[in-house]
Amino acid sequence: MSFADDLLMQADQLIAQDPRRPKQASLRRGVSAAYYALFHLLTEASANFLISGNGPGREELRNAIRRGYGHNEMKAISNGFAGGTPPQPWKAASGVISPHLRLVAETFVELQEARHQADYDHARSWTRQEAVDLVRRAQLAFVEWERAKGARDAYAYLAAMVIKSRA
Amino acid sequence: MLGPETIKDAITDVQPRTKGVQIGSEIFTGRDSTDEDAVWVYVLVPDERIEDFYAEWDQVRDEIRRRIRDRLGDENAYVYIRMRAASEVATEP
Repeated sequence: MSFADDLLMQADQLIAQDPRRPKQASLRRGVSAAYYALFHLLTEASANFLISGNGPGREELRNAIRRGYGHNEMKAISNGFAGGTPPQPWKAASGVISPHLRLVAETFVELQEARHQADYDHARSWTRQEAVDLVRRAQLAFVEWERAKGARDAYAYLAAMVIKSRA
Repeated sequence: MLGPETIKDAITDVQPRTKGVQIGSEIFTGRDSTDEDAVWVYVLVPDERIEDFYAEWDQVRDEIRRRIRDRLGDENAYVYIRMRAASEVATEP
Protein backbone atom coordinates (compact mmCIF):
# COMPACT_ATOMS: atom_id res chain seq x y z
CA MET A 1 0.00 0.00 0.00
CA SER A 2 1.11 3.54 -0.66
CA PHE A 3 1.70 6.13 2.04
CA ALA A 4 -1.53 7.85 0.96
CA ASP A 5 -3.49 4.61 1.31
CA ASP A 6 -2.02 4.06 4.78
CA LEU A 7 -3.01 7.57 5.86
CA LEU A 8 -6.55 7.04 4.59
CA MET A 9 -6.83 3.79 6.52
CA GLN A 10 -5.43 5.51 9.61
CA ALA A 11 -8.06 8.26 9.28
CA ASP A 12 -10.80 5.65 9.17
CA GLN A 13 -9.40 3.90 12.25
CA LEU A 14 -9.10 7.12 14.22
CA ILE A 15 -12.69 8.22 13.72
CA ALA A 16 -13.97 4.71 14.52
CA GLN A 17 -12.41 4.73 17.99
CA ASP A 18 -14.78 5.13 20.93
CA PRO A 19 -17.91 5.40 18.75
CA ARG A 20 -20.18 6.37 21.65
CA ARG A 21 -17.94 9.03 23.14
CA PRO A 22 -15.24 9.76 20.60
CA LYS A 23 -12.28 11.79 21.80
CA GLN A 24 -11.79 15.15 20.13
CA ALA A 25 -8.16 14.17 19.56
CA SER A 26 -9.24 11.12 17.54
CA LEU A 27 -11.72 13.06 15.41
CA ARG A 28 -9.28 15.90 14.78
CA ARG A 29 -6.42 13.59 13.90
CA GLY A 30 -8.75 11.58 11.68
CA VAL A 31 -9.77 14.65 9.70
CA SER A 32 -6.16 15.75 9.44
CA ALA A 33 -5.05 12.30 8.25
CA ALA A 34 -7.81 12.27 5.63
CA TYR A 35 -6.56 15.57 4.21
CA TYR A 36 -2.95 14.44 4.13
CA ALA A 37 -3.98 11.17 2.49
CA LEU A 38 -5.47 13.08 -0.43
CA PHE A 39 -2.59 15.57 -0.44
CA HIS A 40 -0.03 12.77 -0.77
CA LEU A 41 -2.10 10.88 -3.35
CA LEU A 42 -2.17 13.95 -5.57
CA THR A 43 1.39 15.18 -5.04
CA GLU A 44 2.78 11.71 -5.70
CA ALA A 45 0.72 11.44 -8.88
CA SER A 46 1.83 14.92 -9.92
CA ALA A 47 5.52 14.24 -9.31
CA ASN A 48 5.28 10.90 -11.14
CA PHE A 49 3.62 12.64 -14.08
CA LEU A 50 6.17 15.43 -14.27
CA ILE A 51 9.24 13.23 -13.75
CA SER A 52 8.55 9.76 -15.07
CA GLY A 53 10.77 6.72 -15.40
CA ASN A 54 13.52 5.13 -13.36
CA GLY A 55 16.58 6.72 -14.93
CA PRO A 56 19.47 8.17 -12.92
CA GLY A 57 18.32 10.68 -10.33
CA ARG A 58 14.65 10.44 -11.27
CA GLU A 59 13.49 9.32 -7.84
CA GLU A 60 15.51 12.07 -6.17
CA LEU A 61 13.97 14.60 -8.57
CA ARG A 62 10.47 13.37 -7.77
CA ASN A 63 11.18 13.65 -4.06
CA ALA A 64 12.56 17.16 -4.53
CA ILE A 65 9.47 18.22 -6.45
CA ARG A 66 7.18 16.77 -3.80
CA ARG A 67 8.70 19.16 -1.27
CA GLY A 68 7.70 22.10 -3.45
CA TYR A 69 3.90 21.80 -3.41
CA GLY A 70 2.19 24.63 -1.58
CA HIS A 71 -1.03 23.92 0.26
CA ASN A 72 -2.48 27.36 -0.51
CA GLU A 73 -1.64 27.15 -4.19
CA MET A 74 -3.08 23.66 -4.45
CA LYS A 75 -6.26 24.85 -2.81
CA ALA A 76 -6.67 27.77 -5.22
CA ILE A 77 -6.02 25.57 -8.25
CA SER A 78 -8.35 22.88 -6.92
CA ASN A 79 -11.12 25.40 -6.41
CA GLY A 80 -10.90 26.38 -10.05
CA PHE A 81 -11.00 22.79 -11.27
CA ALA A 82 -13.81 21.95 -8.84
CA GLY A 83 -15.95 24.67 -10.37
CA GLY A 84 -15.02 23.67 -13.91
CA THR A 85 -13.26 26.97 -14.45
CA PRO A 86 -9.52 26.66 -13.86
CA PRO A 87 -7.48 29.78 -14.61
CA GLN A 88 -5.57 30.07 -17.87
CA PRO A 89 -3.46 28.48 -19.20
CA TRP A 90 -4.94 25.45 -17.45
CA LYS A 91 -8.44 25.98 -18.82
CA ALA A 92 -7.20 25.67 -22.39
CA ALA A 93 -4.96 22.75 -21.51
CA SER A 94 -7.61 20.77 -19.68
CA GLY A 95 -10.70 21.12 -21.88
CA VAL A 96 -13.92 20.04 -20.15
CA ILE A 97 -13.38 19.01 -16.54
CA SER A 98 -14.88 15.59 -15.79
CA PRO A 99 -17.25 15.16 -12.83
CA HIS A 100 -14.74 12.68 -11.37
CA LEU A 101 -11.97 15.26 -11.30
CA ARG A 102 -14.33 17.96 -10.06
CA LEU A 103 -15.20 15.81 -7.06
CA VAL A 104 -11.53 15.15 -6.30
CA ALA A 105 -10.71 18.86 -6.50
CA GLU A 106 -13.74 19.88 -4.46
CA THR A 107 -12.88 17.35 -1.78
CA PHE A 108 -9.33 18.65 -1.61
CA VAL A 109 -10.63 22.17 -0.90
CA GLU A 110 -13.11 20.92 1.71
CA LEU A 111 -10.58 18.75 3.47
CA GLN A 112 -7.88 21.38 3.57
CA GLU A 113 -10.18 23.82 5.36
CA ALA A 114 -11.38 21.08 7.70
CA ARG A 115 -7.78 20.07 8.41
CA HIS A 116 -6.93 23.62 9.36
CA GLN A 117 -9.88 23.81 11.74
CA ALA A 118 -9.08 20.37 13.17
CA ASP A 119 -5.47 21.26 13.89
CA TYR A 120 -5.74 24.91 14.95
CA ASP A 121 -9.27 25.89 15.99
CA HIS A 122 -9.50 24.72 19.58
CA ALA A 123 -12.68 26.67 20.29
CA ARG A 124 -14.53 24.36 17.97
CA SER A 125 -15.97 20.98 18.94
CA TRP A 126 -16.13 18.24 16.30
CA THR A 127 -18.98 15.79 16.08
CA ARG A 128 -18.31 12.21 15.03
CA GLN A 129 -20.62 12.34 12.01
CA GLU A 130 -18.90 15.45 10.71
CA ALA A 131 -15.55 13.67 10.85
CA VAL A 132 -17.01 10.45 9.44
CA ASP A 133 -18.45 12.34 6.50
CA LEU A 134 -15.15 14.06 5.73
CA VAL A 135 -13.27 10.75 5.82
CA ARG A 136 -15.92 9.18 3.57
CA ARG A 137 -15.46 12.02 1.14
CA ALA A 138 -11.72 11.40 1.12
CA GLN A 139 -12.38 7.71 0.40
CA LEU A 140 -14.72 8.67 -2.41
CA ALA A 141 -12.10 11.05 -3.81
CA PHE A 142 -9.61 8.15 -3.96
CA VAL A 143 -12.16 6.13 -5.98
CA GLU A 144 -12.96 9.06 -8.25
CA TRP A 145 -9.28 9.75 -8.83
CA GLU A 146 -8.94 6.26 -10.31
CA ARG A 147 -11.64 7.24 -12.81
CA ALA A 148 -10.22 10.70 -13.46
CA LYS A 149 -6.53 10.01 -13.86
CA GLY A 150 -5.03 9.49 -17.28
CA ALA A 151 -7.30 12.05 -18.92
CA ARG A 152 -6.30 15.41 -20.34
CA ASP A 153 -7.96 17.40 -17.57
CA ALA A 154 -6.31 15.31 -14.87
CA TYR A 155 -2.88 15.87 -16.42
CA ALA A 156 -3.53 19.62 -16.47
CA TYR A 157 -4.58 19.47 -12.81
CA LEU A 158 -1.40 17.61 -11.84
CA ALA A 159 0.76 20.13 -13.68
CA ALA A 160 -1.12 23.15 -12.35
CA MET A 161 -0.56 22.08 -8.75
CA VAL A 162 3.13 22.73 -8.83
CA ILE A 163 3.31 25.64 -11.26
CA LYS A 164 1.94 28.91 -10.00
CA SER A 165 -0.67 30.41 -12.30
CA ARG A 166 -0.20 34.00 -13.44
CA ALA A 167 -3.90 34.41 -14.16
CA MET B 1 -19.62 39.05 1.73
CA LEU B 2 -23.34 38.61 2.35
CA GLY B 3 -24.61 37.69 5.80
CA PRO B 4 -25.97 34.35 7.03
CA GLU B 5 -29.59 35.45 6.60
CA THR B 6 -29.07 36.17 2.92
CA ILE B 7 -27.29 32.85 2.49
CA LYS B 8 -30.16 31.12 4.27
CA ASP B 9 -32.60 32.76 1.88
CA ALA B 10 -30.56 31.58 -1.11
CA ILE B 11 -30.79 27.92 -0.10
CA THR B 12 -34.29 27.88 1.35
CA ASP B 13 -35.68 26.03 -1.67
CA VAL B 14 -33.16 23.19 -1.50
CA GLN B 15 -35.42 20.34 -0.45
CA PRO B 16 -33.85 16.90 0.01
CA ARG B 17 -36.02 13.82 -0.51
CA THR B 18 -34.88 12.45 2.86
CA LYS B 19 -37.32 13.50 5.56
CA GLY B 20 -36.18 15.54 8.52
CA VAL B 21 -33.00 16.91 6.95
CA GLN B 22 -32.33 20.54 7.86
CA ILE B 23 -30.35 22.43 5.25
CA GLY B 24 -28.51 25.35 6.81
CA SER B 25 -29.12 24.37 10.42
CA GLU B 26 -26.16 26.64 11.04
CA ILE B 27 -24.62 29.11 8.61
CA PHE B 28 -21.46 31.13 9.09
CA THR B 29 -19.70 33.65 6.91
CA GLY B 30 -16.19 34.96 7.30
CA ARG B 31 -12.61 34.37 6.25
CA ASP B 32 -11.27 30.88 5.81
CA SER B 33 -7.79 29.53 6.57
CA THR B 34 -6.28 31.15 3.48
CA ASP B 35 -8.01 34.47 4.18
CA GLU B 36 -10.63 34.04 1.47
CA ASP B 37 -14.26 35.10 1.91
CA ALA B 38 -16.13 31.92 2.68
CA VAL B 39 -19.46 30.43 3.70
CA TRP B 40 -19.99 27.42 5.98
CA VAL B 41 -23.30 25.59 5.73
CA TYR B 42 -24.24 22.80 8.11
CA VAL B 43 -26.72 20.10 7.19
CA LEU B 44 -28.41 18.32 10.07
CA VAL B 45 -29.55 14.76 9.39
CA PRO B 46 -31.66 12.48 11.62
CA ASP B 47 -29.39 9.65 12.76
CA GLU B 48 -31.60 6.89 11.43
CA ARG B 49 -31.66 8.45 7.96
CA ILE B 50 -27.99 9.20 7.45
CA GLU B 51 -27.29 6.18 5.24
CA ASP B 52 -30.38 6.91 3.12
CA PHE B 53 -29.34 10.52 2.81
CA TYR B 54 -25.99 9.53 1.33
CA ALA B 55 -27.82 8.55 -1.87
CA GLU B 56 -28.54 12.23 -2.53
CA TRP B 57 -25.78 13.95 -0.52
CA ASP B 58 -23.63 14.83 -3.54
CA GLN B 59 -26.61 16.26 -5.39
CA VAL B 60 -27.70 18.30 -2.37
CA ARG B 61 -24.18 19.63 -1.86
CA ASP B 62 -23.94 20.69 -5.49
CA GLU B 63 -27.29 22.44 -5.28
CA ILE B 64 -26.38 24.32 -2.10
CA ARG B 65 -23.05 25.40 -3.54
CA ARG B 66 -24.56 26.47 -6.86
CA ARG B 67 -27.29 28.55 -5.25
CA ILE B 68 -24.89 30.33 -2.91
CA ARG B 69 -22.43 31.06 -5.68
CA ASP B 70 -25.28 32.40 -7.82
CA ARG B 71 -26.41 34.67 -4.99
CA LEU B 72 -22.88 35.87 -4.38
CA GLY B 73 -22.27 36.33 -8.11
CA ASP B 74 -18.98 34.49 -7.75
CA GLU B 75 -18.61 31.13 -9.49
CA ASN B 76 -15.48 30.35 -7.47
CA ALA B 77 -16.73 31.40 -4.02
CA TYR B 78 -15.56 29.13 -1.22
CA VAL B 79 -18.53 27.25 0.21
CA TYR B 80 -17.88 24.57 2.83
CA ILE B 81 -20.73 22.15 3.45
CA ARG B 82 -20.70 19.84 6.46
CA MET B 83 -22.97 17.11 7.76
CA ARG B 84 -23.89 16.56 11.39
CA ALA B 85 -26.09 13.96 13.05
CA ALA B 86 -29.09 15.38 14.89
CA SER B 87 -28.37 13.48 18.11
CA GLU B 88 -24.81 14.79 18.35
CA VAL B 89 -25.90 18.40 18.13
CA ALA B 90 -28.74 17.88 20.60
CA THR B 91 -26.37 16.41 23.20
CA GLU B 92 -23.63 19.00 22.85
CA PRO B 93 -23.01 20.84 26.13
